[in-house]
Amino acid sequence: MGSGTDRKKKDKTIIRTPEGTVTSRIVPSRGNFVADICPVSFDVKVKPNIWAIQGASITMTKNGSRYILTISGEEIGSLNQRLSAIVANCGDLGIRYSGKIVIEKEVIHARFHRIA
Amino acid sequence: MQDFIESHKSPSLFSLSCETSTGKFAPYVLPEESSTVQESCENPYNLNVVTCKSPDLQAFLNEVDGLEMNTRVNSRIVKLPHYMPVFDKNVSHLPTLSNDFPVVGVSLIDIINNGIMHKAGSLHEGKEPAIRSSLLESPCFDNKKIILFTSGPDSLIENIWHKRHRIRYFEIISGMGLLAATGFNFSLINGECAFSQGLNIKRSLQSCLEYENSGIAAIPHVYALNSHQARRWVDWFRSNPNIEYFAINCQLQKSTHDINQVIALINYILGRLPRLHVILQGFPYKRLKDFNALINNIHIADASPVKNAMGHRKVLLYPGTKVYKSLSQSNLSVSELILNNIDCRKVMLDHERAKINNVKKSSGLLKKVS
Repeated sequence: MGSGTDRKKKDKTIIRTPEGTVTSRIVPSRGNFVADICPVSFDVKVKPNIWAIQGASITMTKNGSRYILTISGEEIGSLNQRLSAIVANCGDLGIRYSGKIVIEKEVIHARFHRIA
Repeated sequence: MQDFIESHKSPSLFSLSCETSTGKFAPYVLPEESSTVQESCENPYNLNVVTCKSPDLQAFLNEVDGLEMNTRVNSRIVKLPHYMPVFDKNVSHLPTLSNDFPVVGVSLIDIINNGIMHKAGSLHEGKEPAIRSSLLESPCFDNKKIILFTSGPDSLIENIWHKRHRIRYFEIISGMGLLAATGFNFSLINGECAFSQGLNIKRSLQSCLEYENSGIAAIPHVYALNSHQARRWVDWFRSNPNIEYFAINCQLQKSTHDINQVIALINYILGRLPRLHVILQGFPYKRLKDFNALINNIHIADASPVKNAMGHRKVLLYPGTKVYKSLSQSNLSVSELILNNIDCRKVMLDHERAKINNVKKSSGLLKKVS
């Protein structure tokens, strides 16, 4: 939204290939595909835990078809089937998610942001 | 290379890997502009910007007919006042304002429904944006001329631009009775790919053309981070002699460096083309004095009275004191606060302009005496 030195951290968007433009590319834009299936961010409610403090980094590990969330080796929650599938599909495209603990109104969330 | 305000920037390792360094995009982006690049241009998913290495580069170039600033815009608009309040979507209950404010602004974010969502700490693009085509029928817009400032978060701007044909953006906007609309303010960020900056300048110009083709007078939105970009804008204004106004959204420019850069850019353009006037959004009043003799070419679009009123803050003035202005919590109604705040901000602007003009006059007199 401006010119200057820094972008706003919460305002990160994938610029989609123009609609209706003719290109020589046969495959659709990977950017559009990522924008469609990989959300910019998502929250997962986690159990209260001694390690779940504001800003703590979260590790996401695949276990079967689900992703388990841990802090310092301690399990604090997991992604549901839908989110696990999204993270797996996005991972195949080279998209990762980085997570931190966010506490808002006394509710503890694992907040993940897309890293393209 | 030095940036626009002469602060020295050393080329980085990324400068040499930017495709602009090879001259591939010259003369529209010069090789030396790559020396400001401070981060990798590898960006396969077009995150935030479309870089020189984008796999979709040609599609983006096709959309704007290349990087050359050859877009013709002919919109003429009526003479604008120096102060223009900007309303938002929460103003529908406001009474009609006095005739002291014949021109008011409205921002893109306020005329769009579902353009963006705030979720999990980030802005997400809305899937089905729609235009609030009846917003401007609210009483506070009665008998007003309205300028649409096509500015907002990148997530919104890019989403609307991408879907503009699908949502019939220009067609619907053209039926809303606007006086004019500014070009889309696609971001230019220091240190990013030089090609992406050139592309975003051209995309903004293209949006002006699309406004104009839809029957809406267009006000170009100008960003430039180095003297090459500024020079290209001056050349563009010279080839588009009907344009009298341009706009700059300064809401992201918080640091002294960034504000200095805006001031330098405006002084550069107006110094060469005194016929032009600039509309500044979100510009700090205390820096108006940096425009000196050009102050009469500066117009302010001001959203702060409404924003403060929504937060129940009242603007208070203490003329003749050092404090001059303060904000205080108030129990007045939002409508009353908006009216008070708009009046105060206009008085403040008049005061700043009078101060600068008096200095101008007295220095003129001094010159005559000496």
